[in-house]
Amino acid sequence: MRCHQRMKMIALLLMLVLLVVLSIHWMTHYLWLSFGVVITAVLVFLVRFETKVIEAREIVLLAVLAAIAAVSRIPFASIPSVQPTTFVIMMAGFVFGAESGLIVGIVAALASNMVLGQGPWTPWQMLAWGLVGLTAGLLRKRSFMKKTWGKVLFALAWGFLFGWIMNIWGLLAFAGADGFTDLTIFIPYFLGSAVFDMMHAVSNVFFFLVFGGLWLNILQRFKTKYGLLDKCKGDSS
Amino acid sequence: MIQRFQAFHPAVCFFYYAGSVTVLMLLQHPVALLAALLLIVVINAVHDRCKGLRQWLVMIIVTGFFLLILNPLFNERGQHVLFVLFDHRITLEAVIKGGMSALTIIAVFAVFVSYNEVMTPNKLLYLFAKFFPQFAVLLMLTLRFIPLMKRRLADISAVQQSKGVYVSGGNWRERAKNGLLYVQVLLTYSLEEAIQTADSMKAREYGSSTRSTYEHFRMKGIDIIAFLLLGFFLAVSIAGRMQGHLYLTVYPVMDSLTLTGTETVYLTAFLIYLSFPLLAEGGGMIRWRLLK
Repeated sequence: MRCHQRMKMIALLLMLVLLVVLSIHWMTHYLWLSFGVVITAVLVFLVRFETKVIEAREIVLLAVLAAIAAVSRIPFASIPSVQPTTFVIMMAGFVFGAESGLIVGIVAALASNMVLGQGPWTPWQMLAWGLVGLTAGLLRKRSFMKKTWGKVLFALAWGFLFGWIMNIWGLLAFAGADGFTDLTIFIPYFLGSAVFDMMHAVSNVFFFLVFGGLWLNILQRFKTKYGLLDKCKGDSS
Repeated sequence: MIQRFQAFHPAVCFFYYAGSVTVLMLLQHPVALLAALLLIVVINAVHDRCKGLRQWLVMIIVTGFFLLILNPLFNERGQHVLFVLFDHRITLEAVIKGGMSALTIIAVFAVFVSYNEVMTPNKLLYLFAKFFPQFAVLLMLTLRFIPLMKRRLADISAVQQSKGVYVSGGNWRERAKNGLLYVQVLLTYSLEEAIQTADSMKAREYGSSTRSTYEHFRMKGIDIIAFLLLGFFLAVSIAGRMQGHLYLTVYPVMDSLTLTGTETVYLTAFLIYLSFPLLAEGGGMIRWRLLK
């Protein structure tokens, strides 16, 4: 079984290298190849997740966090572009580490779209929310992230980054089959989304300032009480 | 209902949709895109009389319209000037390019509407479970928790409302704050429950050894034939596109809009590929008649 997973991993990594080589060869098709890289990268993380031995308690905890992140969109349906999903994933990353954050982000995106309907945006949401959890886990040991302003900045930055990643699939439609002829066309596109990104960013910061400390305490307490997902602590710093 | 198509192995259906989206994104010719879009709408119509498509209609039209007008607004390149608007040249080339972007995105949306109808979550989960069993368990648990948490959230909001904590009224600050307060109650509530669920899984020997799984879907002979057929037509369409067919050169000089002979052949191959669900349905009907 292990060996099997290693083979898959090697195959996927080879595919990543192949895609990068191809993108140098076919410069004009870089957007398509970047789409391929996104999907392959997500698959690489999934294969890595398969190789880990995970306790029943831990897998249920991850599922609960992902489900809360997905469901938490519901009470906010009346406010456009404001949803605590990003906040929940960020908290998961801060407390349970980079890999757990990544998995919670990926599963939350995939599962909520299984309920709401899949679309061309699904892989991008998986990537964007996965990266929110991953970076939260990777940066949590840095000195600036221990302070409130560091986390506020982080939450603010992800409001915009999330929007930009999501814009890429819109760009794919713009570009059609042959790259871009004119880059200025994206300025209005990004400006248009900036309003929504701003709302996302501000709501992230708002949620963090009002609830961040409390949530971190709740999750941290839960983690120490049951000794869950502790081994992630070592490999994320 | 496209019952025949739905009865195929999930891998066949998934392959069909992945292939259609890929070729749709690669095509760059208004005639080909229009023909493909019409075919997809017919598939949706046969499927559920466009019920699913109607739900997404507003979003599809808004996105398509946005793409259609944005390109001519910011792109002045081209030789055929249609008209001049406030010193801004609206060219035929820009309109066609914008139109092709709009057609592509509309067609892709329509394919996804059909995908959501045919590829139910259990089929996707089945495919996942083949390659990522642990991830599939996690996904399955999450999918099971989502309706549970919705119910819990409704309970919580009933209790909180009796305490005067609302999400429906007040200013945005209050609403956002109370909304997340609900979610926080949900978190503490669910975390404790999660331990119970996990212990019950553990008690039933979760993770003690690899397990056999119930195979709901079987690869049959007809699935393999479908795979071969789909693969063949997909390969032909992509090969045609690789050779530069079904690609309308817009800059510097626009080609004629009519299709050449070879292009018609490649387009037919792609249209046969796209109409696979219809062909399967039609074939099934003919066989039924003959058997009767």
